[in-house]
Parts: sequence; structure tokens; C-alpha cells
Amino acid sequence: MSKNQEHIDKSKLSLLKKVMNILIPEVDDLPSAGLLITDEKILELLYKYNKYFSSYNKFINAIRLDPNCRASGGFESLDYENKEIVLKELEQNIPEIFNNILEMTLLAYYSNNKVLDRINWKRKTLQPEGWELEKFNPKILDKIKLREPFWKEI
Amino acid sequence: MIIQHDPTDILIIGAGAAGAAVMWDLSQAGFKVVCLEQGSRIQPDTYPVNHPNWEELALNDWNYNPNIRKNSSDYPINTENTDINPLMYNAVGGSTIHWTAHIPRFHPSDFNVKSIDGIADNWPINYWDLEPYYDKNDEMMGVSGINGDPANPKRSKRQMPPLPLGNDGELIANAFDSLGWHWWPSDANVNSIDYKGRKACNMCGPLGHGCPRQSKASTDITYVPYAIKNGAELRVKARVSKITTNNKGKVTGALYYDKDNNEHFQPANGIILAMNGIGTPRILLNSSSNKNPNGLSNSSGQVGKNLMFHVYANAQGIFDNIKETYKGPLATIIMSQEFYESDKKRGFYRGYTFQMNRGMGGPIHVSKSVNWGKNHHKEFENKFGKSLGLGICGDDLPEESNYVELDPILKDSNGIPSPKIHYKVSANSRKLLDHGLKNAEIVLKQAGAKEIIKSEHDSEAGWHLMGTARMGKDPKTSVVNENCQSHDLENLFIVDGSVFVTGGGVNPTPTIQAIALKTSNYIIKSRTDLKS
Ligand SMILES: Cc1cc2nc3c(=O)[nH]c(=O)nc-3n(C[C@H](O)[C@H](O)[C@H](O)COP(=O)(O)OP(=O)(O)OC[C@H]3O[C@@H](n4cnc5c(N)ncnc54)[C@H](O)[C@@H]3O)c2cc1C
Repeated sequence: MSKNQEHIDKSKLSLLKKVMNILIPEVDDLPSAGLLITDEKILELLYKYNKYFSSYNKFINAIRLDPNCRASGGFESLDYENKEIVLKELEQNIPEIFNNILEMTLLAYYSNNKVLDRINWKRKTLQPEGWELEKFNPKILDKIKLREPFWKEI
Repeated sequence: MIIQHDPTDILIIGAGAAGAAVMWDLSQAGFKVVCLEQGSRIQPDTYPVNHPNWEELALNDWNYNPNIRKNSSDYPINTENTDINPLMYNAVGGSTIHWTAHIPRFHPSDFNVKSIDGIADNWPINYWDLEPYYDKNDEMMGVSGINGDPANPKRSKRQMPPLPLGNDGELIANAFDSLGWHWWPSDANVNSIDYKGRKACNMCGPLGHGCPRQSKASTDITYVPYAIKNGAELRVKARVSKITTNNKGKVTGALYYDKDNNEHFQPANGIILAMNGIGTPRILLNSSSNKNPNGLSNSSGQVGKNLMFHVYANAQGIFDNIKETYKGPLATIIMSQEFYESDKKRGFYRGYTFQMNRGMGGPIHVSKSVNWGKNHHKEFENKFGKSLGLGICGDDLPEESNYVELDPILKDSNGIPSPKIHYKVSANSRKLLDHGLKNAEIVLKQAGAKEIIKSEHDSEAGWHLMGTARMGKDPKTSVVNENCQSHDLENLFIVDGSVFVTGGGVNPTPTIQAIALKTSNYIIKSRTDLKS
């Protein structure tokens, strides 16, 4: 077990997933991000990138210390609107940390196969296939070619 | 103990856009050349687009920002006091590993800003001095494009036909046409057909994170292999800390660290610095001594001063009538220079280029550009594959208050002081960007955009690093002369973006490389004293 792994406890992870639910809500037949993204995916990103790991710990602490959360028995106990308000405040007050948490959420969500199927994104690896290279259509230049040179000779 | 090496004729520091070009040119002229590069050679199969998690890699290990990427070849940069974050890649090929290969040239007027507008300074060289070297560089890098652009002087025949504009590019071209505004297909260092053993582009899209097909030119594949064939020696994971001098007004060599932190000394008859607009002033300032307490080649006090980035803003249109705008190279489609030259009526000096940008890459990149929360999915669907942008690349003018200095505390992994950046977007730049945004909106509306999202200033747009060891005739106000030779040390040369006097309103790399090749030509023709 790496040093990072030792520091991740279940309650913190569960709180993060509650946050993820607000960041990306449910759509069609897909649940919100916190319900869709697996613990394994979150842990994979946290272990791989220090940027996410260090933001995660700071972010969880900031939520736990947030006066609105404390007054109502924790983030989990807030209603949807108030959860959104708390997150907007954190986005303003600790933008870098918030953005790293958001980025990690988006990475995990948009690499889920069900999400990719829904948005119809088929090309997971861009190479070696790429897309078709057409030919340049010279007709498109017909109008602009008529313009006289207008650069300044000095 | 310092490990001593045999002397060489020319020592080049940095194997990026400029360093690789001079390495090739001098080695083919028979100079004994050693190049020290702090990064390593990148294997094409490691580039993100080969992997299913390419967007994750692009945001982390391949991030444009070295402070986020934090590779072992990167050095930390203090960016507390800058409106724009400097971006670069540190490896063989330098920042051309990351670049998007859009290669407009400077205009003749860019070299004479003082005469035209009464501001900044004139360059000691002009467009026509550089023209043969632009052409020489084009041949090596390979250009897809077409001659006849009315906004620029006529050019030699482009090596390859232009890249296709696609439905999205044609939509924007037609919009410019109906407004009667200039546009032209971009010159691109991206192959539209096979060229010099490198394959034609297959339109995968995010070329800014390295091109495994080698369709995009980067100097690790265009110049370096030829230089090595000529006998040049490239030493990687070699980070220079200081340039040394003797008491006869000459540089004598460079101290550097290898990957295991061993210190080496490489003596040389002449030294060429090509560490980019931040790396070069950093090492000049760090090479201070009792004799040069303000740093090397700094009798003018101009080393590190006049940092320019190009100011950048972007307007993005969302369209119903196009799809899949993630297909094809990001930013080598079309450009417009309708508002490039100065016009007093506009209320600001100089001008800008519009550069059309395709969609935002894959789903993760697009999702990052839409709001989180209740409207996330709606906004995402609105944008994904349906957005096109017009970037405004504005001329940046030199100001002493924009500068690079050594950070008193922050250091890299070898203990070399880090650069600290000071940069504020000027009032002139703000007016220029506002003008550009207003006109970008007109073009996008004309093209049928149903919604336009404007980003007034892009702080992650420090791609172009210029001005910090500028060229000039007067040793009191400049660091190098018209041959990029230091005013203070006659066997020291600087060839990267540091030597720019003004920024121009276009991407700088072909101009950096043309200046580098002009300098190597000068050394070949006039400095046989440096050859052993
Ligand atoms: C994302 C991105 C997109 C871009 N797109 C474009 C574009 O479309 N068009 C365009 O014209 N330009 C573009 N650019 C800019 C272009 O990449 C640079 O202008 C160009 O590479 C600068 O060339 P250079 O030789 O001055 O420096 P670099 O190419 O940055 O090379 C400097 C080299 O010096 C090495 N070095 C630094 N310090 C040391 C040291 N102490 N010891 C040893 N080695 C050292 C570095 O590792 C690096 O390899 C882009 C840049 C980025 C980051």
C-alpha cells in the first residue's frame, strides 16, 4: 500500500461522491456522477496524480469546516440548493483546489463507457486511425484572390 | 569533482525550435558542435493520442504548463505576479513537441514599429534580411499552404498543398468573404501529403500534445536527425547552470548537471544560447560573477526585461449547422489579418491576427469548458462537436515593467534558481483585445453562430516567450546585435525568442527559426575563428 493509499478513508470518499452528485447531476437513464463513478476509478486518479490527491484532502477539510455544513450536521444533510451554495463558495474561495476536484470528477465521469455511449463518442484512442484527410478545395479562394495586396511596404 | 570534456567549436544550449536549427546548419558546415539539452528524447509511442486516456494524460503528464506537469526535465517557475502563465516543453524538440504548428510570418511593418507608430523600437534587421532564412526553414520543416495571400509579401512555393479547410473552415471563410474581410488558409508545419519520410496528417485533432505519426513537424524529427548525421553531438538530460568567461571578454564554456546530479564542464570556442525567452535570461542572470555582478551580457541592464507573450482572447461560436468539430488539427485552418496593421482611428497601436480554432478536443476538454451543476448536460450537448473559435493573437509591445528575474527562494531539482515572472496586460493590449472580440463576434454571427461565448483574456496563453535579451544597434539599450552576437562577449550568441524587439501580431516560431539560421549563416561565413 502506498503512502497515499493509507490516507483515504471511506467517510471522506463518500463525502466526495456526494459532492460529485451535485457537480454532474443525473441525466436520462444515467445516475449522477457520485453514483456512477466507482471507488476504484477515484482511487486510481488520486494515487496517480498528486495534484488530485493533495487537493482532495484540502477540499474535504474545507467542506467539513464550512460554517453552513457545520451548522446543519454536515454537507450530506443540506438540501440541494444549499449544497450548491456551499460548492459555489468553495469555488470562489479555493479556486485551484476546487478546479482540481472538478477536473478529477470530469475525468472519471467522461471516461465511463455508459457516458461515452450516451454522448456517442466512439473514438477512444485517436491514433492510429484518426479521421479522413480530404483534399483542399481551391474554389473557396475565388473571392479572396481578387483582393489587391494590402501589406505595408516599409 | 567537475567532469571535464574535450573542447568543441560551438556549444549550443537548448535543442528546441532554434537550437536544433543551428545545430543542423553549423554541423553541415563542418563545425564541431555539441548541444546540451535538459530534457530527453521523446518516444513517439508515448504521446497521449496513442492511448485511450489521452485527455487525462493531456491534463497531467503532458500539460502545457510546466508548473502543473512537473516532469523531471521541467524547472519550477514563480508565476505569482503574472497575468499570463508561461508554457513550454523541455525535451529534444523543445516547445515544438507541444506546438500547434501554425506558422505565419512577421510582416515587414513589424520590424519598424518605432518609425511607423513612434513607440517601442525598430529592429536592426528587416523582413527582407530574414526572407531567405524563412524559406530555408520552410524547406526543413515542410509547409502546407498556398501562395497569394494579399496580406503578406509573396512567398516561395509552399512544399505541400494546404490542409483541407473542412466544412467548419469553409463556413468561417465564407463569413469573412461576405464581410469583405481578409482571410487566407494557414501556412502549417503539418503535412497534407507525405514529406521527407513523414506521413500526411490523419486529422486526429489534438496535435498540441505530440504527433506520433510525425505529420506535425517538431525539431526533434526535422532538424536533429540530420544534425546528428552531420556529426553533431546531442547530450540529453544535461542542464546548464552557468556560462563561464575569461578576462579577455570571451565565454569559455558551460557548467551543467547530468541526470545523476554530477557536475560537468564543456569548454567551447563559441556558445549559442537557445533556451527560450525564459530559460535564456535565467541562465544569463545566474552566470553573474564579480566581474559581471548583474549577470552575463548584461551591461545594458536589459537581460530579462521587456518580456512579451502575445496577448490572447477567444470568442467561441456554437453552431447548429456543423458537427464533429473535433476532427482535424486544432489551429492550422485559416487566419485573418484584416486588422493587423496599425490604424490610429482604432485607438490603439499595432494590431492582431484572427486564428480559427476547431472544437475543444474530446469530451473531457469540452466538459471543462461548461458549467458544473444543473445545466451541465444541456450546455455540454450544445457545445460538443459544434463549437468553433476565433482566437485573437495581439501584438505585444516591450515594457521594462514586464520582466524575468531570478527567484530568491525557488530552485529547480539541481539547486539552480528558478525564474520569477512579472507581466501585466497593458492598456493598449486591452483595447486591442476588445476590438478583436467585437469583430470576432461579427464574424461568428455572420457564420450563423447561435450563441457566442467570449473569453476576454486567456491567462493560459503564454505559448510565445519573447523579448528578454533583445536585439539592437546600441549596446546601451540592447543585449545582442543584428547577428545575435552579444554586445559584451564577442563569442556568445543568442538565437531564441529572447532577441525579439517587438512581438508582432503572429505566432513567432518561423521568425525565431529564421533568425537562428541567419545567425548560423553569419557564423559560417564570418566566424571561421571559432572553427578548430
Ligand atoms: C502549446 C503550445 C502551442 C504552440 N503553438 C505554436 C504555433 O502554433 N505556432 C508558433 O509559431 N509557435 C507556437 N508555440 C510556440 C513555440 O513552441 C515556441 O515559440 C518555440 O518552440 C520557441 O523556440 P525556442 O527555441 O526559443 O525555445 P524552445 O522550443 O522552448 O526550446 C528551448 C529548449 O531549451 C532547453 N533548456 C532550457 N533551459 C535549459 C538549460 N538550463 N540547460 C539545458 N537545456 C535547457 C529546453 O528544455 C528546451 O528544449 C506553441 C507553444 C506551446 C507551448
